[in-house]
Amino acid sequence: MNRIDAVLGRIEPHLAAGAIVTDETERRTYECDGLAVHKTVPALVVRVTSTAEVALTVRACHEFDVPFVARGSGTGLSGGAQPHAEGVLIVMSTMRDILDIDPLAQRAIVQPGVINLNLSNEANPDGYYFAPDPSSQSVCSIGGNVAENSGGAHCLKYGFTTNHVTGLTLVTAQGEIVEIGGDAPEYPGFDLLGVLCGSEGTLGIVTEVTVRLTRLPEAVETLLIGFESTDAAGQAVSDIISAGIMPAAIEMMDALAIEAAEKAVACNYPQGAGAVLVVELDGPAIDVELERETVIARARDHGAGEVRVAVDDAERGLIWKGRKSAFAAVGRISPDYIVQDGVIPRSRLGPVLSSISRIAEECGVRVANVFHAGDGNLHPLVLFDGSKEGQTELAETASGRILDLCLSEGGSITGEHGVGSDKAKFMPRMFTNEDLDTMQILRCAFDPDHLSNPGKIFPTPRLCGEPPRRTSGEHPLQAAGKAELF
Amino acid sequence: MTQTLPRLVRPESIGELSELVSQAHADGRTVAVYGGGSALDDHPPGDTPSLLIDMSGLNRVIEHSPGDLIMVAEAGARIADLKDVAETGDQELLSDFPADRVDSGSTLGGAIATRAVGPRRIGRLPLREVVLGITVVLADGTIAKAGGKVVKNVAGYDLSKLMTGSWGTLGIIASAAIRLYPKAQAQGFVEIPGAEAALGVLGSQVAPAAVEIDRSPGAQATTVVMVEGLPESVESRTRQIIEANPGAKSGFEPSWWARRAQAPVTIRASVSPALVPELVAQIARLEDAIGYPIQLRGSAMGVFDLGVGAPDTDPAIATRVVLEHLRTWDRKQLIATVLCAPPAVWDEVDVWGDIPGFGLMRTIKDQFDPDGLLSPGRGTGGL
Repeated sequence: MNRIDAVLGRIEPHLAAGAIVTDETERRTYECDGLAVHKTVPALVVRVTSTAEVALTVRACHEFDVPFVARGSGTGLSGGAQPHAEGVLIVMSTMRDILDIDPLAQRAIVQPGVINLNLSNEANPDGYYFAPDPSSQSVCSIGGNVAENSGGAHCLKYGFTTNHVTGLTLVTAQGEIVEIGGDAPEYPGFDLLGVLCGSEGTLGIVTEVTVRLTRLPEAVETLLIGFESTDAAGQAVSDIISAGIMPAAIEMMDALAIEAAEKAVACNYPQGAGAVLVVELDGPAIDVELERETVIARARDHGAGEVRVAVDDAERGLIWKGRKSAFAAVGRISPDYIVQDGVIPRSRLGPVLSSISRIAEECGVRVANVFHAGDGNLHPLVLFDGSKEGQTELAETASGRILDLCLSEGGSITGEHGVGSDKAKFMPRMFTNEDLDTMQILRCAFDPDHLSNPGKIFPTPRLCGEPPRRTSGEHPLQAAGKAELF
Repeated sequence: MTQTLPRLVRPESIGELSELVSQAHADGRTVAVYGGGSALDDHPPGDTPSLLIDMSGLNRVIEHSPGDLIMVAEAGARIADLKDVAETGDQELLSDFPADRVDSGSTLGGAIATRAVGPRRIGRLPLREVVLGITVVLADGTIAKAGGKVVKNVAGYDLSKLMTGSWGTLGIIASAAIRLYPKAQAQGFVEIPGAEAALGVLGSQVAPAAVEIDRSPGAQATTVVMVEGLPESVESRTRQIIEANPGAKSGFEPSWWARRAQAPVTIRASVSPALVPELVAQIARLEDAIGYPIQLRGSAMGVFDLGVGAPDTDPAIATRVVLEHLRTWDRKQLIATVLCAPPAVWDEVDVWGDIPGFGLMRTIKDQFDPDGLLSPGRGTGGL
């Protein structure tokens, strides 16, 4: 009996009919997440409905040494939920109940499959919302947000998922159920919530989340501002931030991205602009009014052309439509594209964008830029035609060079999409072996057998118990055989 | 030949720090860290270390980029000095950090290692959220970094958060990158009698920067709301709060603001915001019932310090009674541990209680410091 059959034998008697997927065609529907270039058909798919079912499945996997991967809505862009060919894919989207909304405590308790936007919609009547808002918020799950530490356009002011989680139920890689945190804001001891958020499913599976709800602001205004160039727009961003204003969001799109969005959704952005900024201000009405004037003045300092102010939801919706549909829109002007997620210090926006266009030119590809300008999180979209020989390689080269550029500016290879399977190979460019080994120490505390989403984040993880790659003297206890280094 | 280490050392570079720790590790010696000494009375004193590392030689600002709202500095740098550097860019460092710790020389590394909390976690995010990246020296002397110096970064595990609040038990913080905030042009304070109004202000549209509750033994509680921003806005919002709350009046920064009350024992109670008024009321009733004075002060977001006991009473008994009472609450709603106490209390009282996830914490400690050499006995729950 193979190991998958052994797992099956353990869990089948306890799960409802239809929860277990063995049929190959049906398993194939789970072969990738939002990063469709990496495809693996999982050996087994289990659709779970409770913490107990997750624990049961993970315990069986642990017993028979079978890797497992948790999957939410499958919208991730880094292959974080890419299945394991010899492993079990645990589908969490069937755990989608909002268990409690408590406006007075400013908390909600949700199952991990709950769709991000659904929570906000449910909390809105009480005057609250869930602040993290990735562009995929109408389909992505909160469990996925926790795994990836998702951001979104508004994290400049409101922070990332990790800033909004106060409690979790974790099924460890051994199948134990551990409750961490709760409604209170500060729990004593090591910050387990902090390390679990953004761990990309490699430290266990989260089966319940307590999140902080944020008060809906009194006023929201969205500005669309046209500039001659990305350089001018970038300088305006720096000036707005330097003026002490913390907008809820500052997004930038360059000419190619505007063109694509225009063709796709007719968002009616300023014609002929070399760049547009979408600036959203929120807070007390009086603040929004005062800040709006400062933003416009700073933008004019850098030659802003048209300034459009949206004051109601319909106008605001139109402005955001162009921005939020930009990735899909680029798909209409190019057969294929790679989206990157590099981060740079905001003050280096201008020079970095110039370097990106030089890289594009040298590699013979087009690059559209749509990004979170306020926090320096770039989303260069490298356009190519995979059916033409050599184009894919060129695009990958350009893409890799852009990440190197971000790193040379002191930035990061990923701001919000996660490392997953896609960017694991870039981790050694950002971190030393010692840095990566240190992260493995943490991994070994949670998942010594490397069964929870193996092959993600780290290119070649050291096994737990294996001596580190660094060279250092042997500890006396180790020499005496009384202790291991890990 | 093993070299004998001096008992007190003062490294002047991260490389030197790494060598010292590596040597101590090879010799099986325990190590503790001295920053500004402003939290020495917090947490149990721990075992006397074999090697004490004075961090004052690692006090350089590595990078300050006002345009990017970040500062990178070595761990031994004093918060007060770093705040001055941030001021040059009209910016603020560690907004949510207690003023008394700043005044008594707290260092960046100490601030992070102890995860200190202050009043301004509403508008400015608490300390754990502003540590963007960290460099640590591990138990065996390895220098490792995590995170970065950009405000948005999800590459790899967030070890900055793991080290924040680890009390030196997982590694020695050598440097850190911190997110700065623009300095507000104006601040305003409103004083409201009682604690009942606090939740209303939190849930209102006035976007408070802080909502603090202070209650001295035997007295009525007071809520103080701080708003900050542009002068016109501060004035308008201050007025709104006064109009909405009977008895509220415009005030100044109280003398106790961002300072811990002096008491023999301080208990840290973290509570669901919804239950804040209930906690304040129960503390008053408890004080009446047991006859020990209890000072309460903290944020309506749900982090309170309870100063327990008077100088002439046995602090251990009072602490035990208060803790036992608080621990009848669901720990998902309220969790209470001792933050600061004289030796007798650490020895005689169950100061930590049942901490959620403690088993995992124990495993993490064993992985990072298998020989238990780092700050033995200083960590939460004896880690």
